[in-house]
This record gives sequence, C-alpha cells and structure tokens, in this order.
Amino acid sequence: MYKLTEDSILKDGMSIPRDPANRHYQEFLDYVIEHGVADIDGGEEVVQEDYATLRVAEYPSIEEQMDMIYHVGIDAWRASIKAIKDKYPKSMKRETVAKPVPNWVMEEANKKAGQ
Amino acid sequence: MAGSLVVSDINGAGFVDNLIINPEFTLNQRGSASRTTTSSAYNYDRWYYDGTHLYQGVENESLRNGTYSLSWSGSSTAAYSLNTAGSSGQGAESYTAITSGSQITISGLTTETLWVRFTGDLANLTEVMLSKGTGASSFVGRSYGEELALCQRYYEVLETSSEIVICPMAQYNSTVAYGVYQFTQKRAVPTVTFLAGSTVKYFRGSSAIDIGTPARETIGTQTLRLSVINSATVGTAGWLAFTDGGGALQIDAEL
Repeated sequence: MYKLTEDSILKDGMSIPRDPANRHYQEFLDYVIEHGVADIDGGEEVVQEDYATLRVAEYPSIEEQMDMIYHVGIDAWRASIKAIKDKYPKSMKRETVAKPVPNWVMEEANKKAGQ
Repeated sequence: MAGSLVVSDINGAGFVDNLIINPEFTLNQRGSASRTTTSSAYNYDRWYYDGTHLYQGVENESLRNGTYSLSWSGSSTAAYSLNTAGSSGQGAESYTAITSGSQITISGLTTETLWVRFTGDLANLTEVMLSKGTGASSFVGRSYGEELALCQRYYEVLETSSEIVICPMAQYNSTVAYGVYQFTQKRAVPTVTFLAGSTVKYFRGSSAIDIGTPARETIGTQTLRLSVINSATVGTAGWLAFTDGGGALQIDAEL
C-alpha cells in the first residue's frame, strides 16, 4: 500500500521521489491509473504535538536560564519553568488527523494515462 | 608525418566505447545468488530480469542517431526495442530480433531508451557489446573500478554487518533533527530503501535512540536528507548509525 508523506511516497520500505524519471514513481502512477486513489494513504497532519515537544520549544535556552538564576534567583527560575510545565501537562499526547490524497496524484496519473 | 591512421587499424584495440554496462556480469552489488534469482527485479547490476529475459536499457543521454553493432558471447538469443516508455519500459513495446554482430539503426531520436534483451542460456551470456559503427568490434573489457563507477550512476548500497555511521545530524527545530548523506550522482532522483532488518539508531550525547527507519527523507540526485523526530534544543549535535545487526541503505535509480 502506498503512503504519501510531505516529501515522498512510501511503499514496502521504499521512499519514492516525485521524479518522472524514477521507475518506482512511474509504477505508482500506473497503480493510480488502474486502481484510483481509494487505497492510498494520504498521510497525517499533526494537530497537536506531545507535551515534551511543546515544553522543549518553550523553555528558555540554558544560557538564559543560568542568567535568570544569577540575576533573579532560583525561586523565580523554578516558577518560570513550572509555568511551562503546567501549560503543557503530561496528559498532552501527540494528535494527528488523516489527510486526504492531494490533487496532484490524480492529475499526474491522468497526464500519464493521456500520453 | 609517417602516414595516415586508418580506423580499421585500431578496431578492437581498446578505443571502442561499449554502451553496455557490466557486460561480463562482474558487478553484483545486490549480492544476488544468480542473474535470475528474483523475477521482475534487478539482480546483477544493470540487468533486469522479468522471469524470462535479461534486459539492459541504454538511456537516451548515451544515444545518438546512427548505426550501432550488438554482439555477445554464448548461445542466448537477443532482441531490441527503441521506445519512449523509459523507466519501467522493459516490456512495454514490441522487440525486433537481432543476431550477434548485426546492426541497430537509430534515426529521429528524441527521448527514447534503447532496450536490449536476451533469452535462452542466460547463465553463460557474457561479453555483451553495443558500440557505435557498422563493424562488429572485438569485445573490449573495462577495469572493475571503471565498471563499478558506471554502475553507481544507477545503483549503490551502503551495507554493513556491524556498526557504521551513516551521517552526522543536528537539531533543526524543537522536534526534528536533520542530516545529509551524499552518494554518487544518479541519473534521476533515486528511490531510497532501508532494507528489512536494518537497525538504525540516533546517537545524541550518551543516548542511543532506536528509531527503526528515519522518519522522512528528501532526496536529490546526489544527496539524501534524513530526519529524525526528536525533542531537543536547536543545534544539538548527534549522528545516525547502523548498529547491532547492521543493515543496508539502498539507493536505486535504475531504468
């Protein structure tokens, strides 16, 4: 079964580029011509990252944190870190939704079929 | 001047360019047990097997209008097809039978690929030669290194049975680390496969994170961008490696 990602097409461990000169890409188009896109996995879109990713993105750099401890004190530093942890509790899991197969797939297949 | 050089004097003397790659079946990067082990696949380098025939496609970029001579050793029979199917075009068009030492004439060339195919005693087929000109030339071999370089325009594999570093990585944003692996320039953007059983780990500091297969790959004709979903601060360095049982990264741009 084919699965689309942002950059390529996956099948049986292969990562297939959208290059017309690539034979696996041509086989993919042949599959679409014959079977349509019903069996193709359009991939997934992340609607929410997990807590660890969100926290890492928001934590100040190590240098900024050391600076805060030196100038404002460790309690203030602890409070600022806790605010981020409370904002993104451990219950926050990564959530994704299925994406529809993009239009270019049928367009490219139709183009090949018409040749 | 001692006299004019006559073309017939140098035929077969090593100056003839053979458009067939791996004509003596010396290159087997996939480690196939034979030339015909797997059907509908490439086994030995550059030779595609469909269950009956061995095919080799000569890409359009290597062809010119004119006459070519095809010759080979062994009792196999051959045919050729000049078609625009290009990739996956091995069986797409009708083929014309040809005997060893005979000519193929190409005219009005645009985007066609020339496919030659053999059937019969494929195990003993060797010294396949396709050269420009009307006279059948004596077979001219190439060194193993030259042949490997020609084959790697179409296929190469990074393979190990133990630990080997694939590429260095650096954290791009809070969720993704990127690395670039470079390989011999291919004829087209290749298909990339981590073969089954490959154990790939991402090393960061003292951590070794088992990631199975890198999450995304963006590729050009000579670079592969590997990415790992990973939480770390921007700029954090690491490296990607095969570990434990090893593995193989296959890069395939065959016709």
